[in-house]
Amino acid sequence: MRWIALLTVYGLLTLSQAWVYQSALSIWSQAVTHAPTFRAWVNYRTALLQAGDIEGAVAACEAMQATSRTGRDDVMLARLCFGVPWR
Amino acid sequence: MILAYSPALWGPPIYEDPVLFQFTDLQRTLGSRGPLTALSMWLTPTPFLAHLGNVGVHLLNGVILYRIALLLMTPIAAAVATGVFWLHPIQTEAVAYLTGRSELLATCGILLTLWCLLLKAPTLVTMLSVTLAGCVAFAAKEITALSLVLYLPILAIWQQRSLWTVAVPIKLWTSLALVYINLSMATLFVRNWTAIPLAPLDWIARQCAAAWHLIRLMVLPIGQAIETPAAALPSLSLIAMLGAGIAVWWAPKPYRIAGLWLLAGLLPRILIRQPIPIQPEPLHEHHLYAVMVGVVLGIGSRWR
Repeated sequence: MRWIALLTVYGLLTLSQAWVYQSALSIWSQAVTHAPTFRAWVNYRTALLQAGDIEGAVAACEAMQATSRTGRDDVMLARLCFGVPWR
Repeated sequence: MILAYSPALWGPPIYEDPVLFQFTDLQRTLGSRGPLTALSMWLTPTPFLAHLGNVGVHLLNGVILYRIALLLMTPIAAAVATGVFWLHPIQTEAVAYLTGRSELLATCGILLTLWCLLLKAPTLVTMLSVTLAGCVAFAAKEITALSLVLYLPILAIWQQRSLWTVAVPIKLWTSLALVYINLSMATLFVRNWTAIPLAPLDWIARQCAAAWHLIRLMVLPIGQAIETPAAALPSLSLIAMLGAGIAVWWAPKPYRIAGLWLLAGLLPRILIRQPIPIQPEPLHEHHLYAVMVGVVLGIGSRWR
């Protein structure tokens, strides 16, 4: 009986996680909640822009500045959020 | 199981997924790395069909796992192990994320290899079947198939069989693995070695931290995400991983099998620096797909 209960719980958790894969926005929104890395913020910002949420994308840029980054990430940040072109 | 994954069927390709749909030409497809994965994507050219394909392979893997489990434990225990394999939330990324196709197919090859090996006494036909199934795994994703070299002796320990019965496949797999490392990976490693801003020990420690995060998700599957969080306490994670490796040897048999399988599945990824030029790639949830085979078999065998 406890195995049936366990499998039911697993099934419901899988169902709820599968819902997240319905759009890029929901996937990266979940990512910045649970694993707020620079890469997650970059992709979240892109998903927001594609969804037409400019204010949200600006807020994501501010959050990107607060995450730990490599030098290469800094270049990407400048390009994506401050309009600095690639050299 | 299909109901649990149904919401993902209509999802768009995300992140690395669009690359998979670039294989429009069959010749280019077969010449790519992971040709079986590329071929399978060529056969499922729309996102819906590709998602359906992923769910189908996951379903098939569960059926093969059930057949294997029947040879190792009671029918009820086998059903429970299969149920956990099908429905555990940690499997979602491999099934719902199209890039997980390579893991699904490689695991299919691994399962077929193990099944062929368990079915009969080692005859020439069995050995050929094992080799063919192993090649399927290798053609889908090399780094996942590499773990077969370690899975086969674990299976021998489980069944208390002589290592001689698995010696032929081990030799075959070791040879294939060596050819793969020497020809394919080495070139990429040399090219990208300096681009990764981490010392080898630091890299291993960070991967161990990521591995502990995945292990936590296996036990308590809450807080999943497509991204892996930044490595916490890498040095401590490395020491804890070494300690766990030693402790698992003295654990009761089901836990020993599950633990050894887990280590065997993650070790190649932890040790081999993946050739990512931009940043070091941490372990992700879909990397646990093949690992779950041994974990559910080990834990499932406790059921009477």
